[in-house]
Amino acid sequence: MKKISLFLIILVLFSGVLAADYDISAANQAYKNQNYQKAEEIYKTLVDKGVKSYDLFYNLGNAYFKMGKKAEARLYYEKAARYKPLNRDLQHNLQLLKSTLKDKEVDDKGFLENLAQKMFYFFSSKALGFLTLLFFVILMLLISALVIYRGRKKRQLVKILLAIVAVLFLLFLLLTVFRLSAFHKQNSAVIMADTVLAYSGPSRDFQQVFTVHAGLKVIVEKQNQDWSLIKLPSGLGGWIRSESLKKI
Amino acid sequence: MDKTKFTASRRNIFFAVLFLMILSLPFISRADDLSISSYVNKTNVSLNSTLQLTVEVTADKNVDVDPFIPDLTGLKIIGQSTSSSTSIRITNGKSFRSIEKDFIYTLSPNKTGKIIIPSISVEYQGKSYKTEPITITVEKGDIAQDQRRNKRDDENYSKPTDSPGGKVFLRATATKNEVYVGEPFSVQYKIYSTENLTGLQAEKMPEFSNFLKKEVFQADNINHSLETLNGKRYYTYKISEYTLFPTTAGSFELDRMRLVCSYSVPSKSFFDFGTTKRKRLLSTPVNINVKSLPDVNKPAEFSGAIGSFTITSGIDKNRVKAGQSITYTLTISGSGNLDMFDLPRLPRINNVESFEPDTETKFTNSRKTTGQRILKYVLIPQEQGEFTIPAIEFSFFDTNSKSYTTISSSHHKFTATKPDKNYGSISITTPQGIQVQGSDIRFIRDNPAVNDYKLFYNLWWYWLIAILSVILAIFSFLYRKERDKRLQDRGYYRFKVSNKQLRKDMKQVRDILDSKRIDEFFPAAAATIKNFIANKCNFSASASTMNDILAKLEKNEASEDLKKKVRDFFRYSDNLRFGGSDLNQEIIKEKYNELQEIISGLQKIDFRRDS
Repeated sequence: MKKISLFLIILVLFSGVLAADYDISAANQAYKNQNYQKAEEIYKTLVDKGVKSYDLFYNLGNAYFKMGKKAEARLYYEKAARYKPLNRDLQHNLQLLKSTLKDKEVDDKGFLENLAQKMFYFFSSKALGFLTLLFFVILMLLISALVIYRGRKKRQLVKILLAIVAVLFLLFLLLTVFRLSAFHKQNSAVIMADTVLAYSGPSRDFQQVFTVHAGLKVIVEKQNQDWSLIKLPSGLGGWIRSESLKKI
Repeated sequence: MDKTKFTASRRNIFFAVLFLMILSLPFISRADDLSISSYVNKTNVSLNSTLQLTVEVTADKNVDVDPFIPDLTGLKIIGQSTSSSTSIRITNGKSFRSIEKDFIYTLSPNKTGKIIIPSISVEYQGKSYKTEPITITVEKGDIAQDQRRNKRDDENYSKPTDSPGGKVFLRATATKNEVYVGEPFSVQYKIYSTENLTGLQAEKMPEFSNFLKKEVFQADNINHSLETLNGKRYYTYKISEYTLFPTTAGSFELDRMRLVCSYSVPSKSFFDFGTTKRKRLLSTPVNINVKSLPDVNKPAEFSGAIGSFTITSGIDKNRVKAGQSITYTLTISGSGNLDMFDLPRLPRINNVESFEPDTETKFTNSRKTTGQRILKYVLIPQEQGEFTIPAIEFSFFDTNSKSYTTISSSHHKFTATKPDKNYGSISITTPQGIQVQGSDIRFIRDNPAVNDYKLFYNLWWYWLIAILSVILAIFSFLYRKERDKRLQDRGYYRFKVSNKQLRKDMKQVRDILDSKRIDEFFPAAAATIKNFIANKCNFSASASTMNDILAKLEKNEASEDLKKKVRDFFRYSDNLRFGGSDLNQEIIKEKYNELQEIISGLQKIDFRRDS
């Protein structure tokens, strides 16, 4: 009885942690009524509060797309992609959005690269974290069992299990570490201004090197107060005004 | 270009030659009197035009020679013909006759630059006669230049006799002189001659730049009819007829045709055997003024039709079963540029499948300007119901009223009835690709609430679980260490297993009780007590007496009451063993309860092990 009540208390605590809810039903309704302006306002207030959620970013991106604000739509789709990079709805919308942008982006990933990406992102980072934990707990239990058990046959079995679980644990630990570092090493940004000139140095006096347009995703190499060094997927680099881009 | 050739009637020539050969017998002694020369009609040519090389062989009698043409680099022989003429001169009562034979070659240059036509030789009676080489210049030449040159050439051709009213002339006539762009008209080339022509050769056929041409007639042999022009009777030879469709607006002079014709001149005296005369002909000029179509009131569906048209439509049946086909026919008939415009199209009808139409063009006149264009659509209603084929509009430029006219077919209704359910056979339909109307983004995620995303490592219980499992492992180590230490101590082991032994022994006693084996009860019960205490105190149970046990109890501070109970139990047991008594179930039950009391009492004692 005591055990059950303890379990219940823990469960309540957990659900308390998970259930920090923010109501977006009004915004969803506005979107359904094609009142994208209103939907965008409600989603945006939550985003400004610092709420991070795949659903929120994805829906906000959709609202912006419907309003024709492509750069904003791209920004929030890319933000959503940090949480669920392989979501099919998101990928479809992103693809559609990219096809309407002025700057063509070539997706020249090969088959193997795609496969590797799919495997890397197969589990959500949450699932990876919990699987790593699960394997760790099993590993510890098996170690305990090995310490305690004295029968030869039992120990043999435990040893085999221990080897398997240890390998799995290490694999998932590595994956988790890589995923987290990828999640945190976010240095991409979206061009927000319609047309942006890139210079060869952080001033307008330098040589103009290329022009980019709203909605393009670029990599930010360096950033200071006014100027940012951006890199395009093709390898081209140039300095643009920092206010003309927003970090994902 | 020189597709059609007019070859002279060779039979006449053959007879003339035979006759002359007989006559020439007396002049054999002067047989070696032969001369040869060659000339071209122009020395400057453009790449895509032709020139004529004439090799003239003159002898005082008819000679059977064939000029040897060496390899002509840069030139290609595309046509060849011969002609001959005879002239007779009478000096001092002696008649001198000369026969001139012309070998005419039509040449086409295939490279630019200076080209030398090498000397051409004729072998006659073992002797070789040669011409001088001729140099010509081939230029690339644009069309305008060509036209200028043509014009210049044409001027060279112009001779008084070529004009209408002369003896022989080539007349070009057009059905219209003022047309709109796209409006068809015909042009006809006819030779008027007072003489009976014996040969015709095309030198240059018209090309008609700025016009699309359709051949209506092309003479392939010499036929004449009679015609009166300006009160004069002529033999007329129709050479060709074309229907032309102007492609650009402007004022144009049509390309002129150039021909060479030959006719025989009958002999005027005994000595004159008749000659074949050759004459170059240039067609009379024709000027066409092409007007562009007006832009005002031009209908949107105008697709270039000019003339006068009507549109009719029809369906072959107005009642079909769904899934079966009907044929819709759209006919545009009239005169004009009938096959030079885009046909109107049938718009899509919902739930009716239509296929690319079959088109057919039928001309009812030789000029290919009058007739019908027929469009046949196969329509298959997919469902039962009423369907309407809309009226189709067609716009054209009416040349009579000089304005755009839009006409319209009538609309048609048909009914598709319920399809036959044919259970015996399988109806095969071809699966069609799904029609895509447009693409849109995928819909929003419609969850009423969202959670702030927390990475798992921000959750306190994540680390709690991890730490707990580590603590578990550490505890297991500690446990094992403790256990190993204790397992090395035998006394401790016995102490640990005493309860186990007790449970085993008590179970045996209960079994005896249940199976009513009364004799076995007391030894088992005594052994139970002995074993428990022996294990607890680590001594041998089998070698111990009642006094040993009581001493142990004393040592471990057992209560007097318990000691008494144990002593009484053992004594009762011994008495039974040695004395014997009448035992019954009641007593045994009582004693079993006593045993239990003793055991529970013993269990409460905190035994100190003997080392």
